[in-house]
Amino acid sequence: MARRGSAHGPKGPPRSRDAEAAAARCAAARRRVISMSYNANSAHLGSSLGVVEILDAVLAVSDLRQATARAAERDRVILSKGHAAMAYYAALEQYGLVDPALLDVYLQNGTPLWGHVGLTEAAPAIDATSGSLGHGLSLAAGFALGHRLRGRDDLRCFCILSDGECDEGSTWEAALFAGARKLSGLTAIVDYNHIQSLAPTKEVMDLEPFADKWRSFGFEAIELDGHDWAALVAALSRPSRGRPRAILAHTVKGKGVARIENTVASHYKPALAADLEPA
Amino acid sequence: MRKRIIELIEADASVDPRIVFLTGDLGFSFVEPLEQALGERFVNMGVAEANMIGVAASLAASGFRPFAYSIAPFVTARCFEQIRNDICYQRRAVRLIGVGAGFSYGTLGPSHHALEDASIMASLPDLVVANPGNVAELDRCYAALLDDPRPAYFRIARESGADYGAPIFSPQTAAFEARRGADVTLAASGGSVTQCLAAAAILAGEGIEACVVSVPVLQPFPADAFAALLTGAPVVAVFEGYRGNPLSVGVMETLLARGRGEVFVDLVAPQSFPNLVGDTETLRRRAGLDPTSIAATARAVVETRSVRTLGARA
Repeated sequence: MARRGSAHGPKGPPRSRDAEAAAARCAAARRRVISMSYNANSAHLGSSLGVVEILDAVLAVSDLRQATARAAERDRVILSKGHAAMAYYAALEQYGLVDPALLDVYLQNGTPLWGHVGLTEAAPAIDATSGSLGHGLSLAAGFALGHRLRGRDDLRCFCILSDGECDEGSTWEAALFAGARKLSGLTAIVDYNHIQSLAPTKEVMDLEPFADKWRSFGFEAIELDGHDWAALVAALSRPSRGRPRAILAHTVKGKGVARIENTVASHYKPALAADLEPA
Repeated sequence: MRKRIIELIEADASVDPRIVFLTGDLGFSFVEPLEQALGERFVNMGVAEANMIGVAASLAASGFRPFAYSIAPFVTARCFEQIRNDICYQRRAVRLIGVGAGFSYGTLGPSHHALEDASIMASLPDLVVANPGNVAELDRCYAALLDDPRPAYFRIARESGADYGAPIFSPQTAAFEARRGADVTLAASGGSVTQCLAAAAILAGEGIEACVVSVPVLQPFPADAFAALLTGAPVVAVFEGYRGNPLSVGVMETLLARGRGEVFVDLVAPQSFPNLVGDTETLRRRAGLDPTSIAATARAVVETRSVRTLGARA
């Protein structure tokens, strides 16, 4: 049953070969996101492009595989920022956890993958619905509590949040709970792209000192470059320190499509035909 | 009734290790035995209902049978979107326990009254709304929903309710006569059944025999079972909640579908927040939901009908 040497046991430091493979997966996922946005005329392109490395790193360190996707006792992954659904579907595709044909018909009537993440038989690896912000961390904490009640603190729950959803009080209700209960299996990864729906976070609702906030709620907090896959994997794989972990991953909204990087508009405007061409 | 729901969960938990009880830091002098019995499966979630619901949803997804307990408005209105998305949309079989149905918490004030909870819960897809009127109905509701894969809301009054018994029912058949009578039908749910039985006693002293129909499961409304109890007599629906509550709606829909033109009166609480303090009985009286007021309404309906019938004959 135990797949790991120690609680949260790392699989060892990421090797350069792993990083190269990851870079190829992330590049493929980005191309997929762009084509999905273009084909479906879908919004949330910037939100999706910015979280590609985070999602790939989470899936890399989790035990989510085709063979385990339907298992009750396994790691759990929750994309709380459900509007980055395209990136999640693209990441799942890279790990063989969703039928690629479903991504070809994304958002067409009668298909199972919504514009915000929902539970579906088509992808049993998806652990939670999202779309309304501020729900995911509680859902992740519930899975972590379930693991604890089964004596499986070695299993892990990863929750990917947006920085904007840290405005939600319910996010901090969950953080308070996870910290107080020392849910060491829980890792929150904030896609800290510094832009929310209408303006920069600093102008709308400044989150700083952000890491201190998480620490004061009982989390171990780590800040890193959210596009540095090796750094993400290293932070995600570190042995547990007996408390939940928050990774503040600084990212560039719209990463990979220069014309939309770091713009508010990238939240709303779909990809253009020109974006499909390799840069 | 609060004590009884805790006893039921405690008995259930002694044979089912999947039961987890979450409380929003409430239940003083009621939940302690459960804490003793459940150990780490009793979790005080603090005063944070939204988080409690999300956690409960994922516990259900993990194979547990979670209960989430608080005062009715706090476990419904406060965390409505978590119930909508995390429980109902994800189809998680969480049991929500809301104590303090209707005016139960009287003088504590409108913040603690539960007059819209049944309506907003009944508006959600697949959520079963149970509103037991006495301990026997609570037992039946609990048993009927034990292995139901749907989420459920138990709306629990503080009072235990009159001892009018209850037959075995399923959610589909949850409507029965708590009292027989041919002149007028009082259709009620929850604590209002006891109020209606007291009203029927007043009416009986005047020679008016009222049938009291209890509907302990409001959503999905047991329309066929309810329709089978209708006799053509006038119907007065009585519910300690606002207009548009699931009892009123269910009764009206059933009557309209029958098309027999029964006289119908909807007795509900005024859709406003009271300015002046009132205890439970006073608030019921002001709302016209106490036995005397219910009897007066029923009497007027019966007398009006008699006049109409005589007029038609003349």
